[in-house]
Amino acid sequence: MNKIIKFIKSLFFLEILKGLKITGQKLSKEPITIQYPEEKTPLSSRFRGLHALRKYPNGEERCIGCKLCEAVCPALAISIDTEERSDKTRRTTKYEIDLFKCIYCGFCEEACPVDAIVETGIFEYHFERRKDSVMNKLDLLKIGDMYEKEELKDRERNKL
Amino acid sequence: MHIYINDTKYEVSENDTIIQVADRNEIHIPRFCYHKRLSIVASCRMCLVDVEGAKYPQPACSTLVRDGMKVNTTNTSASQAQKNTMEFLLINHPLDCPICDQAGECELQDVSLEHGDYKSAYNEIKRTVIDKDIGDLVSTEMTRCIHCSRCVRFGEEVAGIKELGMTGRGEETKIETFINQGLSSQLSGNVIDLCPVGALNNSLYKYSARTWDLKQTSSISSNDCLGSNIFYHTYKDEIKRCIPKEDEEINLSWLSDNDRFGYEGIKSDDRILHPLIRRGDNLEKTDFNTISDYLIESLKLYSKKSCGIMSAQSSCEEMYLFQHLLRENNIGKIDHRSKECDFRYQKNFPTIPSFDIKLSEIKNLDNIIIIGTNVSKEFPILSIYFREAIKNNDTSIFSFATYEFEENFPLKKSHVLNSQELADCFNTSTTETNVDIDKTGNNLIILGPAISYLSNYSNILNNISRYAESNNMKLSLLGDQANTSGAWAMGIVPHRLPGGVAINKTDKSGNYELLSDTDDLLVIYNLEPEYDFSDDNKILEKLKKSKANIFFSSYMTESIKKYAHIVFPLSTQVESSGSYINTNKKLQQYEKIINPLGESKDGADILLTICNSFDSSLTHEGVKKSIRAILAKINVNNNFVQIANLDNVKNSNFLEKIVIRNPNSSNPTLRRCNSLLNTHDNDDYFSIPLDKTVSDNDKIILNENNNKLKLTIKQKKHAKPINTVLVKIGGTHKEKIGAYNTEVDL
Repeated sequence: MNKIIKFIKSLFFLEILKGLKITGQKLSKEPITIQYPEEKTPLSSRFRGLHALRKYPNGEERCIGCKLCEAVCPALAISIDTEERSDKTRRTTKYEIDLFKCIYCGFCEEACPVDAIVETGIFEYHFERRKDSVMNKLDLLKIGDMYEKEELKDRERNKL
Repeated sequence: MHIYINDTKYEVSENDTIIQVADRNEIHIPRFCYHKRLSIVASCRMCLVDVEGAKYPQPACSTLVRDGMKVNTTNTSASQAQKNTMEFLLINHPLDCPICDQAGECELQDVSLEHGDYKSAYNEIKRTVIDKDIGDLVSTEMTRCIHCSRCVRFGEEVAGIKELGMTGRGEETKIETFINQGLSSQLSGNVIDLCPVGALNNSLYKYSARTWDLKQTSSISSNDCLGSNIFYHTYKDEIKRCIPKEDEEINLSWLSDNDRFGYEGIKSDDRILHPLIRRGDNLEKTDFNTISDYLIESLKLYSKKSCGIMSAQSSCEEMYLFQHLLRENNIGKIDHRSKECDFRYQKNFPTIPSFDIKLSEIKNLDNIIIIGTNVSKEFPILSIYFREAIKNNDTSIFSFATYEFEENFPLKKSHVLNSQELADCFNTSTTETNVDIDKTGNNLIILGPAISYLSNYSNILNNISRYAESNNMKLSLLGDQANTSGAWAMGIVPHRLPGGVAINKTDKSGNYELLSDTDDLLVIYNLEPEYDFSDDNKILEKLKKSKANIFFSSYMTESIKKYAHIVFPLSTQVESSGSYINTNKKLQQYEKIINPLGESKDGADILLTICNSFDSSLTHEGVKKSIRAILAKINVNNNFVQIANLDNVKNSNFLEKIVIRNPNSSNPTLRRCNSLLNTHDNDDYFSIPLDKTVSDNDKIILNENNNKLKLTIKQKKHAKPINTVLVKIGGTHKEKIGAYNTEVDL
């Protein structure tokens, strides 16, 4: 019996017609394909992309070198050295993130008591040399400067 | 007698408090003000526990046990009481754990994790307290203080100097130093460990690491002969801090500042990082093979015309190999007593000088006579035992020294005498000594290291030994370096092999001289010619004249730069492994804490490689075994040194000079610990007899051995002892100071 049904189905191209029905339905609708890189999909305000170190509006770096992000990082991607700066505050002398190790889990962002380390919406980046994958403090602060506006916008959207 | 804690039965003795029983049985009770070695004040109320039958929760630290008492540390009543206490403590405590160095090992943090709410019910303004500048070693963050008063009690009860005190009442309570002074006690660093929160911090460690990153390794202190047990905390191959390791036989829970902060010097710019060889006027980099060959050749070439001087801070392994290397090459002149000039005593000296009784037995003594050492400065840990003895047994302590100083324990009587008077006052054959003590009691005489630098050391030693023996007292000898006892036992003396085996030679001990004109080769191991010799003029002169100078050193100095032919870069104690014999004859091993800087190497490794070139049977394990065997064989009953037919070297009519170098910089590493020197190395002065005058108030010009010496020292005093010019200077005083003890003209 099964054999006969199978034979009839293949004789009248039933499977193909079924597929063509969906194609036909979609033909009349707006396509969802995006012309990347000219076009981009919208991102969540909580997207976890490239890292950045933020500053206060007066230009002072936020990071206080508490090393909580280093401690919480499951991939051991962050490494920090600290010292007492001349104004007697605790500051980092080294803040490095190895992007090859990072798994973009966002724990660092959550651990930070001063909202210094954040994960921005940047997801398009590449390295030309092996060592470039390790972001140092200057790089991170630069990205923080560039994306501060977007970051504030994201924070606004995240508010309940 | 027994009590129940959390329904489990525990045996107790009568005077126990609940917290002591709990600690013994590893039941955790939170506490801030209680510390097992300090008095009980029960002021923090953190240790409240529920006691059956009591109306309110009781403080575990001050509640004595009763038979059959039922204690509960975790039920609602107890934990609610603890929660409330903690909430009140947190009212004024800042929430700056992310930058606080105590975070991770903070008792307040632990308790608030256990009982705390994530939201504060307190919306009013928190109290802030201005930080105090109390010196280079301890930094403050006084807003964090919770007024447990541990630091205050430590100063009063243990250190003996009331440096920190509590002022004000209620919300105005503050921990302060009196009239803005810094901490000056040699035990001041202990308040860092005692502080249960982050109010008192280690300045050198401040903000440089987090507690959870640190790796802990145990080691032995290299700065005094007590051999305190310590833990080094390292992070990324760098020493971050040093804390005491509990040891009931030696340092209890405490540590002297030298030990705690004495690692700062190892990163000094002076470190020698490569093997060096002289080419023309300069020392140039080379490799170990070249200088090892040079060393072996010179040893063969100059053979009997050589002299090997080694620091008593070296490990037993280094000492054993050093004397092996030199004696295999027929060099018998090996010594560690670079600061001494009178060696007539050496034949009669004990095989291993020691502190004759266990430190824990000090508290049972009736009388202690301390000769020539400022205990609270040179051996701070020992001073704790003396304070305990006074408290426990009302011990009378007498001090005899060549200069005036303060001790952190009360002295029954203190005498300031010159070297001749010191020898005379214990001379039993002439007069009765100035010490009026009950001679039937349990008495001890302690002889400090500074006495051995005097030119009539043998006379003093002889007289004191006779006095002690005739009065049935014990005699203890304290060494000036971490391994002085080891140096004697390992044969770093010209007249004895390891284990104190005397070398049969024609008796020349009467006129043995450390640096004689016949020496053509000098091998100087871990000593700085500028600071570590009894006469800096003489050693520099000698270095200029001798044909080859071989240095083993961790640090570069002017004289090494000028006179060394080859230099072996030594790693410091924390960068090498080895063992020390402490003043109680206890052999203590220590391991490598961090990797050596540059190409510098463990001295034992360097020496073993050289020794292996002619004796391949030696191994590290073999050396260790020999050391243990040597120590096991040594049997010394007492430290008495009695010498027959001893001449009196001093003529009391002459003016003599006595130099006292600050004990806080007794070894090359300590001399480079800047924070430590800033705090403890700043009371230079010279004193002249009452009837003498000098033209300048901060300059002194001396004539000695046909040399004219000019010393610039800030303070002048007219003081005892008579006929003596006393020069007390910092350990890193740059000018030449001449002989430690000699005749001079003003």
